[in-house]
Amino acid sequence: MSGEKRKYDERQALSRARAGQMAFWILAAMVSANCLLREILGRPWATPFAEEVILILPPLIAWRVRCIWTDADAPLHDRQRRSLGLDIAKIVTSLLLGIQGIRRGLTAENGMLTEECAWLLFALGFGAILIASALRRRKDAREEAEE
Amino acid sequence: MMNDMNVSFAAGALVGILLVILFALWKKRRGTEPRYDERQVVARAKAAQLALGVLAALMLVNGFVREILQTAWAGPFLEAGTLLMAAATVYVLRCVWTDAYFSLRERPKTWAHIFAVVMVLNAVLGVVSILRGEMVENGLLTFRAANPMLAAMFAVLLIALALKRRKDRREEAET
Repeated sequence: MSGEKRKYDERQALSRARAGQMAFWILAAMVSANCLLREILGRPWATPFAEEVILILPPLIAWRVRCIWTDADAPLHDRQRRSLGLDIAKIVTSLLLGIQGIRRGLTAENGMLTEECAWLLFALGFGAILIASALRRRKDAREEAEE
Repeated sequence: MMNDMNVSFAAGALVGILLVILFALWKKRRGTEPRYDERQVVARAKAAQLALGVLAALMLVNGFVREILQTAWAGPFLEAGTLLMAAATVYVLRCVWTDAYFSLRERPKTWAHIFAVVMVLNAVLGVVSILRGEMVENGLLTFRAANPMLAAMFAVLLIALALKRRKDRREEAET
């Protein structure tokens, strides 16, 4: 099983593609807004690599959340129970690294945000994924109870 | 601060986008908006998903390049435009190859002629800019570099359309 490529059914493949489509438009809009912001400011607001990472993360988070909400996150034959402990560990670790970065003054350099800020975005992303999974599980449980 | 050149480039781009939106709304009002069948809708969604991956990868590469060079290689508008054009080209190529670019109502031949005109116009503007030495300013590519990029994008699109048409004809001849 571990050597097999993950296979999604037709509905899931379409859901994932539609989520990807939505994420693409979000990313395109963010890239456009970013260039306008840089023109208005007359200088970058983050270091080069940090800027790209900060722009890329929100659409990818949105894509993942959408996949979870439309039950297209994991193939039907490969459902594994989410480890709540692992999810919380990811959130807490990212949050701690982000807060440590702020306290040490590593999140800004010459008036620009640095890569250290990405930890806070990661924490936000992991949190959003956890909430989406929990809400989806609750919705599924309700629907099962109604049947 | 925004300089005059970038203001005019931004204004031109905004006007272009506005015209496209108005054209799409007009078509929808007339009931002649593009209609895609189920297979095409799926193919277009998958093409957009591919374009997302390409855009994200290009953005990371761009970040690396700017970190290494410790300077930008183009103004913000051109930088964003280049990334978006590359992703859009991938999207369009994938749509063309999976026969999901033109809707059931559209005539590919008419659009191919329009694309050819746009390509030639941008190529001419690009050549003029190169001859005048307007492509680079203070070590950065200027917005005039967008013209040859657009010409290349439309050239790639036309080649893809021609190859697809040839492939379809071969398959038709075989059946």
